[in-house]
Amino acid sequence: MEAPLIIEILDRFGKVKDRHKVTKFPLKIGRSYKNDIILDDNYVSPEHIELMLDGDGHILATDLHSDNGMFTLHPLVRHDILTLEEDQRIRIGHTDVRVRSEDFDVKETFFDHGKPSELHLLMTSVLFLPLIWALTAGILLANQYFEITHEVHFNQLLGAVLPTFIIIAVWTFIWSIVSKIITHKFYFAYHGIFVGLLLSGFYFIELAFEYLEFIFPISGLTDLLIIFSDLAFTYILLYGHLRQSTHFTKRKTRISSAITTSLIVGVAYLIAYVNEPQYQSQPVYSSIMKPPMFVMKKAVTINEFFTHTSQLAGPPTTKDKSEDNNRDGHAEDSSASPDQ
Amino acid sequence: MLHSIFSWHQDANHSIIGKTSRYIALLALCLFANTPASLASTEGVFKQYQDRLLQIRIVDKTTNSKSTIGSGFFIDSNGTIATNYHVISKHVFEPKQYRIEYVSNDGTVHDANLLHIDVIHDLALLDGDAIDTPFLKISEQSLGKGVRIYTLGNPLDLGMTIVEGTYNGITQDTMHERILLSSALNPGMSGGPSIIEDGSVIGINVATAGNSIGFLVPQKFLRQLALDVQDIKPGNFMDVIREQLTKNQNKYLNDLINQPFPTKQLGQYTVPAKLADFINCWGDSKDGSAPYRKSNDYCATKNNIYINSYLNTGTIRYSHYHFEDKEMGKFRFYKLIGSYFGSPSTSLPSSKDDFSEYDCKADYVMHKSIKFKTAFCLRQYKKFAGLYDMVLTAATLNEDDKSLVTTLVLSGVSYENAVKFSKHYLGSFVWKRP
Repeated sequence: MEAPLIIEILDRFGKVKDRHKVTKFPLKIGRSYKNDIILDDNYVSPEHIELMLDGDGHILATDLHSDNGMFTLHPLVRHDILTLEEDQRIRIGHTDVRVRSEDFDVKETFFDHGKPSELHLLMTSVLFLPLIWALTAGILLANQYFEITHEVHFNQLLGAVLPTFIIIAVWTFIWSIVSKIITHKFYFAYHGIFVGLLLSGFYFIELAFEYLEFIFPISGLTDLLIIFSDLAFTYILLYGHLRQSTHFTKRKTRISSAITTSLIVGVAYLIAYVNEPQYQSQPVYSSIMKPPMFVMKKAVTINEFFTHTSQLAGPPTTKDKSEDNNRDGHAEDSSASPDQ
Repeated sequence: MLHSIFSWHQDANHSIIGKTSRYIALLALCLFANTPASLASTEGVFKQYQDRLLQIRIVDKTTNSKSTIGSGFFIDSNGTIATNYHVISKHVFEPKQYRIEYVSNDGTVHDANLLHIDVIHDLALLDGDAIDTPFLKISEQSLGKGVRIYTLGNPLDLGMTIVEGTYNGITQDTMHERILLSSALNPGMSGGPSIIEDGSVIGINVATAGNSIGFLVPQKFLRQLALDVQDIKPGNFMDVIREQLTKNQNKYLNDLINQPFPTKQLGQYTVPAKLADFINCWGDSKDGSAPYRKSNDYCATKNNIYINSYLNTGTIRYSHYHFEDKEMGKFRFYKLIGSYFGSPSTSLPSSKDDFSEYDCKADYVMHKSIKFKTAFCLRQYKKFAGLYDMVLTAATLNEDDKSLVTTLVLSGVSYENAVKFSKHYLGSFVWKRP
């Protein structure tokens, strides 16, 4: 006797609705109650198809003169009789049928149902949490300390770091609540460790970026990297929290993190753009200064520096435009590109 | 009274004096028997010349009410009026909204047309559309310090007044020649004449520097403008302003560039010092509770060129900040340097209608043994093509615990001059290794 087969009933979108283990052939599938597998689908005939085994052990599907027929997918082709391959989907009415063997490989088990990995144990360890938060506090304090260009008071440092920590705690708590509701476990340590690590990394990278312009002579590189790191950190943060507090598949977690990230970062940049002054009355250029030892970029001579400054002067304004004392003329002048 | 009597003998023969003043003078003679038999008096001068004086008004065409007032005077019998450019600048920029009118001595109001302007020296000529006007002749003599000067005008719209003052020579302190006058000038007297006893104009009232210090535009510029007016055809005054500004900055900047900059010591650095008489410099040091020592030097031109109420130009301004670390450590110290380097104080007017935004270039520059981080920024004048405001900032990167941040601001200059001046400026820095 062949190993038992499994007939899966799916909706048209591929979601499995039912599974039937079958050991005996032939079997009939249809809407009437006489069938071996009864389908509650108004587009399926009372007796729609019959499955039987041929001499070689293949499954033959036969259309029992149904009203709407039997189809293979991709492309959609109608068949009266068909040999069913394993994992092949056929469509009858608004229902799909698929054959699986018992050996079908199921997907990995979700986190909290299986045995946790060592990394996962560490990430959920209550002892590890204070350690990570201490690291985060250290990086925040250092970041703040290097910002202050006057006398340093400890209160001031604390005052700058404390609000961030309150936000971290609230954030951790919110995700713990979400975890509790969906997975019935708080995972407070996990969420706290995760956000602490991420934030430390974020501040560390931001600090490191300041040195870039001293090393690479590419202007605008730092701005580009900051946008990239904003996206990356938001994505990783959301992914980590979602993975722990929902039953989403990896793919679904990835997609929802990506969508939320682009929304959050997009809105943040939009707000920054809207709040930018319409007319910048002060000169703007990179004001980052580091001790002389970090300046690795080759310095130019005074004459070399002024070789390419003519593009700052803008295109030569035509006489007519300067004479024409109206706003249109001005708009053209100001929006003129520096390329000549 | 006593003062005026003492001064009479200087020019007594030239004076032409009114009846009343003669009467007062006779009274005075009774009191001071030893004074010379001169009949000049302030009152007499006023009576004699008041019919040459005018009030200039800029009138808003929509509301028909006056928006600016100043003084003026006839300089020929064809009704040509001299006044200050700054009195009529509103009309220059918005001729559709503002018209010029003048009120003569008898209270009648007439329209006037703009003939010519000199923005550099702050002068304007108007056509008063009148004939056979009594006028003030422009003086051709040079004066000595202490000569009595009568300043006429209409201060604060209170009516024509006369103020006595003393000639104190040409100031060396302004970029463009000005006569220094010890006299009380007030708003509204701008554009009025300052005359000597014979009634000839030696200058045009232009500015005051507080209590009894007034400034006049020397008459020679008015005479030149009156000659130039023949060549000008009525048209766009924006072009006239642009030409005058361009010519002017070429002259004063090239005068400065054509010689090595005077320098001074600031820490280990040699830096540009007071470049000319018309530039003022100040210095200051701070060494308090801050974790660093700061000494700074600041220089700026004493006066600018007035274009309109929101636009001055012709500024040269530069500052040097020398920092020395006490206890910050090099990372925080250079953060501090960055904050000064990144936000130079330009103190320049800013309006979207007049200027483009700044375009900047920043790079590391090596000059002799000094390494600078340098930023060079330009913005265009929208109404005067070819003129720019320039900001040059540089911070030195030579030592971990000492740095110099310098900023140079030039307003209303051509691109070529901005670059020439900047090169000269940066090139004059020297660092001595300790």
